[in-house]
Amino acid sequence: MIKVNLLPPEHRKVEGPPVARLVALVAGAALTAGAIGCWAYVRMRVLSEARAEREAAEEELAQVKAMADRSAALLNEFKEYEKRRTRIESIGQQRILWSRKLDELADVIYNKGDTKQYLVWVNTIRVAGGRAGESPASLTFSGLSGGDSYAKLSEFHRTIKETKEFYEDFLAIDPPVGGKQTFSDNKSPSVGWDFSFNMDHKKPNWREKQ
Amino acid sequence: MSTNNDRNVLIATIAVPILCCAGFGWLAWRDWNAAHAYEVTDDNPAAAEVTDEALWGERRRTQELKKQADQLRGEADLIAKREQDVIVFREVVQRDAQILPDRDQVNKLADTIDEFVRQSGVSLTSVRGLSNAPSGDGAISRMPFSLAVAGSFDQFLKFLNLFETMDRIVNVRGFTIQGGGQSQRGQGDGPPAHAIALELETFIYNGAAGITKPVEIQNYERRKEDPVIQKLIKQQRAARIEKYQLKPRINRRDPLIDPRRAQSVDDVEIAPEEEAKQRAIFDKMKVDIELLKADCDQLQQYLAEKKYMQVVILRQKIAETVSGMELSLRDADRRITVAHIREAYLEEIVAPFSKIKESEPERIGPPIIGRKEVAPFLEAVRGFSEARDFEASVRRAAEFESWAKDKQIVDDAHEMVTALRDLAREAQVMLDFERIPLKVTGRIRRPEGDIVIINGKTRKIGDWVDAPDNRCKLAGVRDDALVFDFDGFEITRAIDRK
Repeated sequence: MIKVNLLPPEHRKVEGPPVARLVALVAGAALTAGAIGCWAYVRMRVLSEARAEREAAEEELAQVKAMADRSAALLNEFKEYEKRRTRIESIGQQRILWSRKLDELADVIYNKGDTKQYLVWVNTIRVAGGRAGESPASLTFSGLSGGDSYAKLSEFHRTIKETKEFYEDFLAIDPPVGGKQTFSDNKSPSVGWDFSFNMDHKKPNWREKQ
Repeated sequence: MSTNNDRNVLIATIAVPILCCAGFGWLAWRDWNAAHAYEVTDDNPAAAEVTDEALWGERRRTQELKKQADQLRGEADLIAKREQDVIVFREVVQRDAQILPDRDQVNKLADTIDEFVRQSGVSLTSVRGLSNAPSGDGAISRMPFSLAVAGSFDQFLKFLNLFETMDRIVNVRGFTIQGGGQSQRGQGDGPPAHAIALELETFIYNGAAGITKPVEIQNYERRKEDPVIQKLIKQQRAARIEKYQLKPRINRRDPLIDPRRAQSVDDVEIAPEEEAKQRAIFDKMKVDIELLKADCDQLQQYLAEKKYMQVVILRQKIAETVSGMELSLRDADRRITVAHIREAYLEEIVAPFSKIKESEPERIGPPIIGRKEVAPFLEAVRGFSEARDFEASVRRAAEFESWAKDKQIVDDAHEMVTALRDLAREAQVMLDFERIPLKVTGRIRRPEGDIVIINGKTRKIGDWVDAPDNRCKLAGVRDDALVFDFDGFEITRAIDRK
């Protein structure tokens, strides 16, 4: 049947959307809003917080790293200064006072002017590297002991060993070996014994290690 | 048609929200993943095995960053301790490096060598190896150099000792002395000239080498003065250079010179008895010189203890001993002829005796004043004071003060000096008092206290009589005298005195 509505529009019955569509619309809107809200929450809250934490951690790491670098630089500098100090100390400790040893040797040779015990003079005195591994230097002196008696050379050798302040800095002295020589220079005594003694010096700081 | 439209609209109404939900849901999932991907949790420990940073979420990245920070924090916590160590060692090295020459001193080494040559008397024949270019990269570089000199043994010894007593290290590496021309005894050919090759080394310190950029420490100067750091610096033993003080050896022969004498017909064999006699003379003089040395040491001790009486006595004794020994030495010098005894005599008796005799006055002690010296002055001052010649008394006391100015007063003379000074002060007071005009023209006796007319003014007891100086006041009135108080002294003056 064909329906004709002759009522003016303002009197006509308003027809709403169909119920199914309405429900679908509302549900759809609700779901969409929920999805948007969820996404917004994740983005604005969760992800932002995570990023902020990450940035804070990066900043903290940068600071700590700078401090660690400074600490490492301090350590390097300390090690350099420690190395220098050790070097300076070893330079001082390696020192041998040869003027003292020569002075003491000259006293032994002179023997307070007592020529009866022995009469010795030297031709060469040399200081060079030590023969023994632990010895930093060696003193070698060669010369003559005036007089016919070999005992005088032996006496000189013994006096060297018994002169504590001179001998205690050395490891040992070569034995008193030598050959008899006759001089033709019209001087007295006209015979003598030649000798060459080598003495290896102890390490300069041996007293501190005792 | 409208039914189709309705259906389409319905489908669209359902589909669009579904699509929107799916889309936003996916976005939410994606952002969630960006935040939490591979986050290591108790529920998901396996996430730690994923090492590709590109896959990590923000929380995982944060976890890794915190882990790195924790590892570095241990190193960072050591900063305070390491700063302290650096401060201590910077100062220690700066202190210890003082024993090493700096570049400037190395540059002046040539001048130093020249000066040492002059001081010792050796002749310099060669210098090699002096260089500004250090060998080695570090802060301390070594510079070896070698010298060739000629001279006597003592000259070389002095030369060597000068290097070994420098405040900055110069070490002797080696040397060779070759005995030179022999100087015959008594022929005055001049000092022998041994040939000497000397190897030395020194070190150059360059503080800036080895450290690209020193770490800047805040408040360094203030922290350096901290007692804890100062204590740590002091605990590090300072590097020092051992030195040897060369003592002059009188009459010691050059060991590189042949000491044998030429055989001569004039050589006289010394009899053993004569040698014994000479030895006895030497021994006796040795005892005398040792006693004299002991007396001199005792004198120094007395001076230190301010026992001036003993000083006076001992000085006299020392003077007498010296005088006696001079005669003995003249005699011994003539009588001791045996070579070795003579040499010992010169070294052990003549040399120390000369030293004692030539001692500065300060060694014997400063001039001292005893009772004997003070007595004449005191007598004179007392005499003048009793004779009321106060000017002479003051003058004599001033002479004493001037004479005694740079002398030490012996303990038991102090009493006499005090008495002299008291007399001098009294005399001065009397002189000043007598300069005050005190013309007494009348006296009024009253029960409540006498009044005296002095210089036209009435004065009672307690009034000043020498205004405006106010040093002298009337202290008492007697029948025939007035008593004044002048600078603490009570002076009685007769009334009828003009």
